[in-house]
Amino acid sequence: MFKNLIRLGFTFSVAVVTFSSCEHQDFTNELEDVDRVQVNTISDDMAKVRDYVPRMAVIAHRGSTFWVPEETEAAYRWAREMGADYLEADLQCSKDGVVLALHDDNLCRTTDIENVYGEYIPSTRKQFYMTYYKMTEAQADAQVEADKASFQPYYAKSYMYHELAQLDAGTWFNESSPEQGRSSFSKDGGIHQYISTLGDLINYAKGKKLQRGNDGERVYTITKTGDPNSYSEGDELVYTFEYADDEEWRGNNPGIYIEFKESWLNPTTFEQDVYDELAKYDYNIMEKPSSETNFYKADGSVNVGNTNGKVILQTFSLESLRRTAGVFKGEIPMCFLLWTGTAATDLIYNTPSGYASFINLGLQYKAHIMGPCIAGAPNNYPEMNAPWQAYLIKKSGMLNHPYSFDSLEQMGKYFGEYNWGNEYGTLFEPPYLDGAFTNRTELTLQYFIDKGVRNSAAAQTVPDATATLERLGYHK
Amino acid sequence: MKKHIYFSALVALTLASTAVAQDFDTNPVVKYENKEAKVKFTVGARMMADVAYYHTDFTPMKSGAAITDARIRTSMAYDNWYFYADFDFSKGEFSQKNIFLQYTLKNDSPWTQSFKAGYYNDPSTMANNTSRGSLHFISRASAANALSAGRQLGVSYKAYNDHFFFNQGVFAENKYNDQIDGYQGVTFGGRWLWRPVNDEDQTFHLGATFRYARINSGEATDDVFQTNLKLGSTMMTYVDEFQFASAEIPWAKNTYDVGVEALWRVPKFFARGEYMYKHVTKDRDDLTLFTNQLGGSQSWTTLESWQAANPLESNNFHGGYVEMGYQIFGNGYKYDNGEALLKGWDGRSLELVARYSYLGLNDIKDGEFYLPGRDQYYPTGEVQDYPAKSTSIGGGNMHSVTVGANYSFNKYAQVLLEYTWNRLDRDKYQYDKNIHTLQARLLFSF
Repeated sequence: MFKNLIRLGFTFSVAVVTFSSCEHQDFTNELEDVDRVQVNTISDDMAKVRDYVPRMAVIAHRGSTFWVPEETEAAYRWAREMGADYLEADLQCSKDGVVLALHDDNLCRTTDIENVYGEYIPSTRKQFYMTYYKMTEAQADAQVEADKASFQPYYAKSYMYHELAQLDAGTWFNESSPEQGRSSFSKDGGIHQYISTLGDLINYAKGKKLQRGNDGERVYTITKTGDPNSYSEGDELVYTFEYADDEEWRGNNPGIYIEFKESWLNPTTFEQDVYDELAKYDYNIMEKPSSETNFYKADGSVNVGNTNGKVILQTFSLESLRRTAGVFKGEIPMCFLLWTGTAATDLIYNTPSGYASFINLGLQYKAHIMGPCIAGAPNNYPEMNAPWQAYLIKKSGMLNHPYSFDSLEQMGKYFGEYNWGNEYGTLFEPPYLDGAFTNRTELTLQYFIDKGVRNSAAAQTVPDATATLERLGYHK
Repeated sequence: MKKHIYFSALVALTLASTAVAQDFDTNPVVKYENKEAKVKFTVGARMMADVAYYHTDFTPMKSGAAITDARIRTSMAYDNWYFYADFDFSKGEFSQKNIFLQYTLKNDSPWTQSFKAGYYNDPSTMANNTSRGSLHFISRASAANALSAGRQLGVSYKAYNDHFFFNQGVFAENKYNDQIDGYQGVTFGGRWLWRPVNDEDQTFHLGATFRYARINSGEATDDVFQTNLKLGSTMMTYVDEFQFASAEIPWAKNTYDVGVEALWRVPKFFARGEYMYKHVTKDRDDLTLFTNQLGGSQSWTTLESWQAANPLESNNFHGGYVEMGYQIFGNGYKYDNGEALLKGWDGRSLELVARYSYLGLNDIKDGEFYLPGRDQYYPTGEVQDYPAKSTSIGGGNMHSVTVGANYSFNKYAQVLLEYTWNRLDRDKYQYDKNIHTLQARLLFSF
């Protein structure tokens, strides 16, 4: 018995020592996992489309929200004149089918809709139907009643463009950003800033501005399909917007970077509608490819808008990502935006395997660019562009366009200035971006120039931000 | 015979029965017996210390050593009455094990009948009624871990003779009635066997099991009462109890388990196995949930549309295992008639064992798309922003093969050495295909 116990103790000790000496332990860490997860790589055909996009592109986020009321004529004219490579916008749809360049689904923050319409259907709606759709009074009454059933106060999709055009999209900025506010941004005593349309955005990129009448209001006409004198079911309105040459245009032709918003905000045909709208303005390279390949003109001004990189599509929406792939077939550069959280389109598992699965989803649905959010004030978004995340994007062969930069500190961070050499050899070598959505176009341009990453063919000086606003007629 | 079958069936609906203390089947060393008073009292203990090394493809498991069983047991027998209790203190935590009272009818019938009441293993499983100390393996098979019932509070009735064995009972859902909300559900189940061959040299038994459980306890949120069922298995180890294969089934209301089992043993060899199938039905207060979501711009406006977006379907899971052992030397394998189980070791011996186990916790609808970054299935087969909720459960399918060698120094001390290869197929752990486990156990029981 005693012998057996000794034998038992010896055996167990040997077992413990043997197992304890097996030191290999696959503890999960991002450094290792980035090379253990499956990241697909972009195909050769997709890479060709990816390369329509200039490296280190400066993307004026909503036109640059720091300086100007977002997504208005003022914003996009300013960003164009500053030398941004892309004018960024969000796409929604008005009730009568106009493709809008507008961020918020609810208009209360950036317009005076609460004062103009309150929570009711515009009182002019009945007359609108009679005037433009040529409805009889009875038809118009019935249509207004029908509208009430689906009416969502303050949601852009509940209003006709003609109704939206009555709203002031500039004054709010003066109240929320008094230091950057300018009297010219306000409808009262200034230049009426409208909710933009996709057509407006394209024309700003082409060097145009809104055609305004003597009263200072934009000029457009509304016609209808079908019989011009009476209404039949299925008749649609056609807006014809007028644009004028912008005498302050100094030659920049940026591209546009347009986002399909949440899929439930827009009709299911929205991606096709945008396709058609781009074609209408000769901005759809699938219909009319460009022969120009230089991103910058001889004088250094931006020429992206005249190349095949003139349009980049983007979305957070998984459904829109899929539908965009169906309509645009990967032939126009596409960015899959990332956000982490628990909402319907969010990446829930922000781990190497979860992150890689979203990159693979992007590739599956013909995206060429990933757009992760970045940390830092003032937005304090979650970090989705840490070195390991940027590494995964780089590994896929896609471009990395993080959003949104507001400070030089952020610029420095994603150029690895604060890594203090901890890049694990060349594994996580900075920079962690191939372009930047920025609310400070002037800062990002200057940083890229100072860093030596701005294309040498591009202008190497940045116009003064406030002087440019003054030049464009936006005064304090 | 007929009357016993009838009686068993009757009791299955009202009462139950089960094993003596197979959960702990070695004879205790410390005994006190007063034959005049017909009283026998025993005290015993058991200790298991495991050391394990894991190698996984991706998600790590913590290799190391742990005390995985530290029990004190006591029993008292008086005339036809038997009381048993044991408690576990392993990993520094108290855990309630068996505590029951059993009454055995004594008469001249070839049938032995007993009634049992208390907290002990549900009779509807061979694996979970086999004591960990008598298992011949370090852990029960993954299929049994995930799909078989464990201990429950209830009553049971058992009757057996050399060729038949019937054991069935009725049990409560929660032993302490400490559920957050709801009153307790009830389960009933049993194990019914036929032993065409059963003598000293050989036993063969064949049987069926059934269990029904009504899940009534859960948690109420916003006036909606939600029940839930969790299934899962460790990698058949106790040092790291991470469950690569696991499933959570919200709104589970009724579970129906059916199974078959077989056991064959001769002195030098045994083979046994079970197949288990679990059907889970659900129940949900759709009207209240629908009403609660009203009032937003994105609300579903009709109950029918809400139900279409939030379908509710039953789920099915299954699994099974086959275990074998070959004794190189020792006193031979023995069979416990009263428990219809293989007995534990009873002296110096050396055996080789092997097991194949399959656990199927994937119940995924054909054609669905899975997105790992969200751990979400998409019923239409493509990503959508607001898809109808999938009813798929991706708990994982797992094949496991175990080989081992067990050496018993004597009837008190044993060492087990085991290697298991698990092959996992679970969408959530897409990079974890192979999980290797090498483990050893020192077991001491008196």
